[in-house]
Amino acid sequence: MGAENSINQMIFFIASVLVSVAMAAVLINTTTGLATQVRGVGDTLAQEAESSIRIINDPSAMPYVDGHLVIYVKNTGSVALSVNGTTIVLDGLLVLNVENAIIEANASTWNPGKLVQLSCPVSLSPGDHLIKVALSAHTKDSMAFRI
Amino acid sequence: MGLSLAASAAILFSASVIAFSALFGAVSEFQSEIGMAEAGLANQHLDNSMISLALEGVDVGNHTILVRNSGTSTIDLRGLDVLVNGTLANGNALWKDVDGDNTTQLAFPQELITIHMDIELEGAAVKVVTRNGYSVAGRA
Repeated sequence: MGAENSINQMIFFIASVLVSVAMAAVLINTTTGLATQVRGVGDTLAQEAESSIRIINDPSAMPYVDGHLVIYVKNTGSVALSVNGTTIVLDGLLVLNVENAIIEANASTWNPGKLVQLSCPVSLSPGDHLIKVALSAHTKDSMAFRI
Repeated sequence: MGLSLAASAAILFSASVIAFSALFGAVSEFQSEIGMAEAGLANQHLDNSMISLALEGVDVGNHTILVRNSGTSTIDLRGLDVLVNGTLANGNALWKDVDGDNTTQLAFPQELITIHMDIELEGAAVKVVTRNGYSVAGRA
């Protein structure tokens, strides 16, 4: 009777420890995942806040030659940016096959204060137009111009 | 029974402490990063509000563009971009000087920046842009 009671207690002890460990593992795992996501969101928001671009073209004298509109965009923020994610919308239509070039010798990233030249193959009629350049939801600029 | 309860409670308490510390660290880091970014943004807005340029003129004969720092902050010449007739002409800027001094790259308030170009400026549309995107434009 005494031995049976001890075995029951031991089984109960092991079971309760196993259940506790499992719950602890789930708790730690979930919280660590949440913490990682919070850090990621913080990094992204901080990066967004420090990113800024500006189209510096002269709206009265846009370079439009041989069906190519050239746009000069300046990194006016405080962090280096990537040119690859640039989206250009002209008069509400997405512009594809845009060629870009960083105006800085031997630069692979778009550093603060530096320019990127975007050459857009578009067909423009004389008149007013609106160009938008966006890197993300918060890093964007637009300019109205006349051809 | 009592031992089982105590062991379980100890394990769960330890896990809670670890989880809380991980979450607290992440939230604290998040707040710190956002705070620093906001402070940087506020500084940048303040800097931008103090920058001002005035196009004093274009000397067609000497191929120079004259720009005065009419703001209250210093302008770094290395961040200046020049557009002539809408096309980037940084490569055509031979040198820049500040009140006749071509050894400095800084233009203090009220100082005159002279940009010496190697292209014809007669009737040209000229635009000068600072590092943070502030610009001034005019026609020769």
